[in-house]
Amino acid sequence: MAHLSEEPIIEALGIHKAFGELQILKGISLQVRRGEVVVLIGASGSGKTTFIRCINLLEDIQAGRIRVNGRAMGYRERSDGRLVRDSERNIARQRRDIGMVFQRFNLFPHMTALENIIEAPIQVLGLSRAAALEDARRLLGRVGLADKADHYSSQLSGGQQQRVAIARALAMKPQAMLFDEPTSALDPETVGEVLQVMKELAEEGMTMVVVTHEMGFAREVADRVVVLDQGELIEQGTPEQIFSQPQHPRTRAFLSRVL
Amino acid sequence: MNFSWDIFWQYLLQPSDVYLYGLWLTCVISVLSMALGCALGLVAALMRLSSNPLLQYPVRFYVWLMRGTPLLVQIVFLYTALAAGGIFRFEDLDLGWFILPGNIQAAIIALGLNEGAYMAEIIRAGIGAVDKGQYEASRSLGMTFGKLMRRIVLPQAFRVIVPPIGNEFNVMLKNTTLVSVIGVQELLLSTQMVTSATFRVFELYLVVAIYFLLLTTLWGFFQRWLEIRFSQSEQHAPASSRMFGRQAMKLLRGR
Repeated sequence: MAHLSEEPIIEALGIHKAFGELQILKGISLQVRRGEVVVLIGASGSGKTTFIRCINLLEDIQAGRIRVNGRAMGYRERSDGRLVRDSERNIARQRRDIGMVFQRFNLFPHMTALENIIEAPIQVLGLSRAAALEDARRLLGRVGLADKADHYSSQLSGGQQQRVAIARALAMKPQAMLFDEPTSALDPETVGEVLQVMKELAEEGMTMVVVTHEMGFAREVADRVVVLDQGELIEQGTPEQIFSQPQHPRTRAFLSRVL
Repeated sequence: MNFSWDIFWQYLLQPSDVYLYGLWLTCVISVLSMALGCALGLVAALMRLSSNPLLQYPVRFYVWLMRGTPLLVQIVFLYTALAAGGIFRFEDLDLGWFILPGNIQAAIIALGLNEGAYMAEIIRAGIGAVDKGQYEASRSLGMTFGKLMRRIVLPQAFRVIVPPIGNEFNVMLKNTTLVSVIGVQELLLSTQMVTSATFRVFELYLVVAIYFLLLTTLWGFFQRWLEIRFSQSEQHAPASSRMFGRQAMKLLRGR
């Protein structure tokens, strides 16, 4: 892929995560390069959603390190090399670099589509209202919803809500985007419009980490497919390698169930 | 029956200054106590939602104490018992252009403290009703706790808590009668004072009851207006039109 650089933008190293006694992630490491589209697949309960939620610290981790743009996420390295938990304010600042799109959209229901998009640029980045509005209208046009600017989320279909959510995340001008099963809560007829927006985003060179069950999307858009199983990264490779010649027996078992 | 319509109409329609002062005091004490209660309730609710036990347990104790003792006892305790015990005495406060008597201060604080405990529970429930995904979306956009509370969570919680807050204020209007025991001359004590001079007990208590009905009814209209206003952005049709549809509603209205 011509647009890929060697520079890693997201680095996760040995991520361990447990809910009580239950080990969800058992030491997962992943590097994502700038401009790369990585698709995480795996059976439900394999830890893929938990893993991307750990990247922007929506989940605490028990062990491991996350670096975004070369800077440690959530922890500060002191001069003696020890790690200390970072302040709420710093963590919020670090999250700006990573956009996230959720399975259940999570639009703000008390705001219109346009207000959803300008909220964080104004409140967090300190943009002027005029500048934020200009950006927001452009982004709404880009996701094909210029005519829905004044609609509340209750007046939009699932696919439209998800496209607004993507525009909302893009308004922060993130370095990378995380997608947590973005089409799983959608009616079948609106899945395509969301995948189309994601595909265009990938073509424009956005760095993306996508958790999805849409194998067609993975095959077509991914630079790399990563297979998780029971909290472990069991296999990764190009879509052809994974879908045509899976090496790991558990990958084969999983693919035979979903394809 | 010992009932004089003349006296009834006279006090209802041409209330004496004593009465008007009582009405004014009832309203002022209600509003100030409610404001104090809302502020305390918000702080207490946020503390209660914190995972830090040092913040959580004082609030639990406060709510337990305020809800477990009679309001009347709290009022007397704050004003009379604390002074008798030599712990704290409410002194008249000279604010330059008028003097705020000690017992009115005690009344507002006692009612506000009591209200705060109930408001804490209401606000906590309202905040709890906001979907967890809203926090995650706000966080992922880089908002700090303060911003996400102020801009995202509280506006949504507010919509849920407006109806119960309205009910609380209705109760507050009536609860102000309790502070008559510490000599605050609100509507009830004003009535008592007038009856002790005129002995027209039946007529005057009927008038005071009508005054309270009037206050709570006026408040009820305002409350309805508030609820409509705060549900507007949701763009949900009101229950009646969801049930009957727009055409049926037109027929029912006779047009």
